[in-house]
Amino acid sequence: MHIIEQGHVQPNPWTSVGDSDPLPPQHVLVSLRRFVADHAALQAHGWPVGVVVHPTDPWREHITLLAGAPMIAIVFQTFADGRGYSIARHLRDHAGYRAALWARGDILRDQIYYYRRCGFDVFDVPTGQRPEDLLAGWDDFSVAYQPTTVNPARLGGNAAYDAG
Amino acid sequence: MYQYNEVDHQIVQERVAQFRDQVARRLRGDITEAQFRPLRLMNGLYLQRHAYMLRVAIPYGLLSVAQLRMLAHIARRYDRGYGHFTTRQNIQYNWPKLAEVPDLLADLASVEMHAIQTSGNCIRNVTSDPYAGVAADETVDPRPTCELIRQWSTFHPEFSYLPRKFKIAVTGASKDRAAIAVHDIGLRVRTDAQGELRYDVYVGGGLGRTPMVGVLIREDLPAEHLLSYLEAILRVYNLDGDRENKFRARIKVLVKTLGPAEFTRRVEETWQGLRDGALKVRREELERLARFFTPFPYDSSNAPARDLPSPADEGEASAFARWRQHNTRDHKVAGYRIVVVSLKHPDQAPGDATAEQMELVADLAETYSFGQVRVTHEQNIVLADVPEADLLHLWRHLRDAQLATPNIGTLTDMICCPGLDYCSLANAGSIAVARQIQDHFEDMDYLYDLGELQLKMSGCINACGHHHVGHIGILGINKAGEEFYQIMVGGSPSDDASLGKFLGPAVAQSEVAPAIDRMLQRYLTEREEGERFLDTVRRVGIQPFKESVYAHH
Repeated sequence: MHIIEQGHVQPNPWTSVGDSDPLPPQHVLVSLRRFVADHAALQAHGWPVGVVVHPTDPWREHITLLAGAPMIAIVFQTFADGRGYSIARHLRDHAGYRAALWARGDILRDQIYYYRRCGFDVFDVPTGQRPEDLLAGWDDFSVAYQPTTVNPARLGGNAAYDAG
Repeated sequence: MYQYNEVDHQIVQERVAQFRDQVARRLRGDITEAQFRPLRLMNGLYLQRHAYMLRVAIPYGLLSVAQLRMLAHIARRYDRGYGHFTTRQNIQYNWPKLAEVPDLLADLASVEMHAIQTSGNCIRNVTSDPYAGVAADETVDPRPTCELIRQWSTFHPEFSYLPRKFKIAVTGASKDRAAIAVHDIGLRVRTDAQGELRYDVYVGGGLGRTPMVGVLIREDLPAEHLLSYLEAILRVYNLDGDRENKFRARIKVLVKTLGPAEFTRRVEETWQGLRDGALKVRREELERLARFFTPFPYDSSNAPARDLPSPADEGEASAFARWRQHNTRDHKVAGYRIVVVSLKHPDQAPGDATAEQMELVADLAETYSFGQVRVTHEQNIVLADVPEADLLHLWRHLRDAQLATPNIGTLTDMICCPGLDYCSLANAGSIAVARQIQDHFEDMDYLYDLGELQLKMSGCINACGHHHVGHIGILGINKAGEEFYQIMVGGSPSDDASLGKFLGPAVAQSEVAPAIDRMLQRYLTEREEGERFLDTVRRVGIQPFKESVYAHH
């Protein structure tokens, strides 16, 4: 129902659409399969079309197409499945993806800082969780040791690291 | 040794605050035990048979005396007066109360210590050679590399939920004392002809249910690429490792399933995108870290020719000589010895130390060994820099505190997990069997005649006691509610790494020491001049030992 974007709670403007459903005139969110198969038709939709990526999807095969999406939501089926962190970094650091990157599914307040540092910038608040609880984990750490996709102002260790 | 800067302090303190909040949420009932579990497991806090167990990281096994005194304080204040040094150069406390763990962590933080990533499916405490920096056979001190890896891996956001736990070990000596072949990643550091650091990278070793020896996937990696290469390996593992079956989730299974060539191809491909990025290690950084580990100001007048204090009588002289021979090692500087403090006294569980013993060792390290100690993966403590002239005094103190059992490198210097007495995974006790073996083999002359022997014992298949790489390995199992023990021979964790072979059906608990004794008697008749037990096993095979173990049936 709600998302957290730029540290603020907002209503979710995106509507999920099944693989054979008609496209309503609004922001829609489709599976990677439909995103690839119907790409031309989706372009003609006139509204932004975002894509949901599961770690088991063949995302690497369609990385160029994904890089041009207006929004990607990576699903954490369970918090313990950490593949989403590496997919996010690959999109951000190597595929040149710059638009909104959502974390959705079983996302934990205690991992928010980790998601953020891997390039996620929007959080789809899971049903049953209060957005303010997720926000409580926003800045668990103010420093970090290693450079990743997004870094805090101060990095320890290797003096070559630039915050970015 | 490495000293925290502001960033290190801040990270550890912010971690204490975060964990304090997590514990408070649990104690208030805001979160369930199921929700709390992944949080505490990020912090070395396990729920064991009787209570919580907290594992504290000792990065690459190195401790200052202030840190060792704090470990003693924690044993007394939060536990029952002792701690257990583990096979991964860490320490475990068996009885902390959940509500007090945040205070315990704050105490640790005050001496630059923590419990970060000592459990969970993340990169664990990096381990190394306990004789780093002082071993006569060392080419490069591995500790600056270890510290570089410690920092890179600490709270690495991408690798907090790997398919399974991940262990890295580093050696810089010609003899591998860090068991790099049985780690997820093993690194051998050396210098090339120009004096530049180079790394050989081994991947896919490990013990547990499917023990494997690691394979060399990269030779001569320049130091500037070390972290980007490690990140590439971890990313391939994070994305492609098995997440369906816990028992196939370690990187060793991925390496085996793909084959080393395909695994290496994926790593190299991933690395191409990382090698020239922000992870490039600058020479200045390695030099900065190396400065924390510069050699102590050794006194060359400690040369062996100098008059040494004399033992009081013949008896003391021979006891001291025996200890010096077995519990000390050559130091790279003449006039100094490496001293191994034995935590293998028959009256204590292997690896256990009381608060008083820790404090005594801290005092002795302060007086005799430049204020530092090391913890070994063989579950002993090392005073690495003791002047020859001080050995007698040092030994007297250790002897009086039951810390000088002259058994290092012998059968009774065994590795042993906590077993069924504490661990909720265990199928069988190991401490009682350790005691039985200690009692059975109390004749030191017999032990010395048996020579170099590594006995390693685990109370379950998860192999915390490294039984697969023991010259003799013992694995506890449970048959219809009764504890039995399988015996294996022929393993080694070192340069000649190999996995042991089981001899046959498990024996009853009371039969373990007698069976081992029969096997060793057989060794004495089979061995050739200068042959260790392991060498004899390799030459003649396991059949003679199998016969002797089951000879009484």
